[in-house]
Amino acid sequence: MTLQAQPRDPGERRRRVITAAAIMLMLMAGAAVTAASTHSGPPRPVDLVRDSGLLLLALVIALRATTSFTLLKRNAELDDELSRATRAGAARAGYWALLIAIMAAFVASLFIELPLPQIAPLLLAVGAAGAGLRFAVLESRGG
Amino acid sequence: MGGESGPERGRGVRLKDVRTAAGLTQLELAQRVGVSRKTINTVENGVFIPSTLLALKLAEALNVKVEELFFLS
Repeated sequence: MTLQAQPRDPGERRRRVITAAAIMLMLMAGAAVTAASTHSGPPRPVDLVRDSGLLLLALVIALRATTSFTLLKRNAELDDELSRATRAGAARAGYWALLIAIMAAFVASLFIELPLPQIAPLLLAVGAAGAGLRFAVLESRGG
Repeated sequence: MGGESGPERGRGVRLKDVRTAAGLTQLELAQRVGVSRKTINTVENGVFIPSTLLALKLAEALNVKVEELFFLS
């Protein structure tokens, strides 16, 4: 039995991690919206854990996809000119995704009741995951 | 003079030809100028327009003038 080779290119590994994290964020946002629509009353411990995870994951994706912030040693290869241009593109995409999502939520709230705990996870996911997925698409340029 | 820099003019990149003529791989050139191999690839394919600084570094690494790598067509 052979082990599957890990991608040697750190940029490729970063792209895969951000893509997976963005998909996970959207799934978590879906779970948060479902829970908020079916449960009323004070938040339960499970709600706090899920929402904390959602906030943390959104923050990590946004930081990794749009800034060079890192707690670890900076890898110059992952912070070159192309990466900075890619991050700028991802930040623009996240900004526009969030703006459009807020506009859509605002319009929808004129016709249906949209409580903040129900809509906030969606807005968060659209903004952060939008930036993360755009980063992954742009990062895939150049092979 | 002013008409030469109109928006209809395209840009050309001769980086790949010069690099291969110098006998360098994308990775070797990337290491010389301190960027990733992917950056070199995207510049060669015209996907990414490098900054003036990177263009000068590329020209220096390949021992040519920057106009030989990038030009207006």
